[in-house]
Amino acid sequence: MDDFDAYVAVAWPRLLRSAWVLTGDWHRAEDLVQTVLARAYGRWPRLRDGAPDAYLRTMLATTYLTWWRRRSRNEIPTDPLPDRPDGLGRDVNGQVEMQEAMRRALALLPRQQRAVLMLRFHADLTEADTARALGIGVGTVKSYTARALATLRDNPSVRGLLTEEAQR
Amino acid sequence: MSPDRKLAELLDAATNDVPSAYLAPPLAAIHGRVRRRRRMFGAVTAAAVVVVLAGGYSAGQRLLAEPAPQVPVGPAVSPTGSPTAAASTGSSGPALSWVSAMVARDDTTITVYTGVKRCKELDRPQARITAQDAAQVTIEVTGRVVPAGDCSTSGVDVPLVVKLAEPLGERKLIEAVSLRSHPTYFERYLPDLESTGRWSPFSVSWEYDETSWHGGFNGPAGSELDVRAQTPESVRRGAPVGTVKVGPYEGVITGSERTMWTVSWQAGGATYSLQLVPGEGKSFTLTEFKQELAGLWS
Repeated sequence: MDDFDAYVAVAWPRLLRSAWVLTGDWHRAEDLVQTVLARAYGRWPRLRDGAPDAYLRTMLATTYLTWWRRRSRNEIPTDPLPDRPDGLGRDVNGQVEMQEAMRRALALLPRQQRAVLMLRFHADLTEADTARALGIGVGTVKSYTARALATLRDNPSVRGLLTEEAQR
Repeated sequence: MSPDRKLAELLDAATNDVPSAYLAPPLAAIHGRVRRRRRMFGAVTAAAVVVVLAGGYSAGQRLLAEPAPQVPVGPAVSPTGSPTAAASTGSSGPALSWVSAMVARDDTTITVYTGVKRCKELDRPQARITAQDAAQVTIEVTGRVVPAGDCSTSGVDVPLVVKLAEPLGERKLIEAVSLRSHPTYFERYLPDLESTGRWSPFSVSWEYDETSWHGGFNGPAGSELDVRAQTPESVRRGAPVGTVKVGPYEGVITGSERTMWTVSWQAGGATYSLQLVPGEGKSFTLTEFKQELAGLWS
């Protein structure tokens, strides 16, 4: 299916970014996206004419929720910092620092809250669509969102970033 | 600007800088997974067809519709050393595929990893040796696929253990449904972490159709060692920062002091790796990482 490959070539970066919001780790993000795309391949004839991005991001969230490689302890940050394109290790515009702060902040959130944040704020799904995607109530989506935002606001690094980002 | 909008922009900004190693879509790897999924799906379907043909339509219906068992279902152990003894234990359901195997340090205890998709689980799964000769050992997994009692804990690997009467040696492990060899890993290529007294294992699971193997160990000061075995073609790693001897192997180090270090090496046709994750707020220098590695194989 050439159009599947063509779609993946274009959608790969944005799916990978959504998966990073879930995993906080580029390698695991890649693993997750690969898994989801392999599953979606057989359904592609039905997906391609709809909204494949939303469908695949929902699959990312539900697949992520079945992955818990560290059952016996809380998830902790495990990802190397991104490789710098220039190879010099310079943190242009504080990008690496910001990503690291976000990664650490997101890692403190329960997985369900992280999945809700990804679908609501990265995939831009409505509360109702997010609830349908995860098989939970709209009230639960609201509650998870509020708790996740409260946790992020309590984090000094992210509180500052949220303010900075708003001012850019 | 609303907090929601701010967060959306921040998530965009935080994920904007995808490392160059991950920018290109790995189409070959994705198609490889598609082929593996089809082989597994074909194996399960074929097994279900056999059940329907052998037991009639009602048996097939039971396979799909039977409710989750009321008692906890755990991995079954078949401590069998001979095909005859194994056969006498009887089958617990249709034959299923397994996706990978780990051979213990004693070279006789073999764990095969199987599983079923999310919201399904295996009822009384069993593994047994169905044939063996000087060249290969064939292992079959059986079990009925039933609806999961709890979707959130489904869709992950199910380890099943068989015991050989004689060491595996150079023999190949064959998966009974496809009659192919699947990724097989060996503990002997990994350090004996528990014997060091510094590392204690914790339970790790992974997606049911993943061919990699994962182990996790808690260590001093909140540190953690993530152990991984995978096929060489599935390995993606960052730029090497050095090499180190890990036991008898030549290890390649990747990572950084600000995050964590990983060492990986090739043995027996597979890639093994150890990732040292520091405790919260801590870090390891490259020298400390190498010292830790040296202690693992001593």
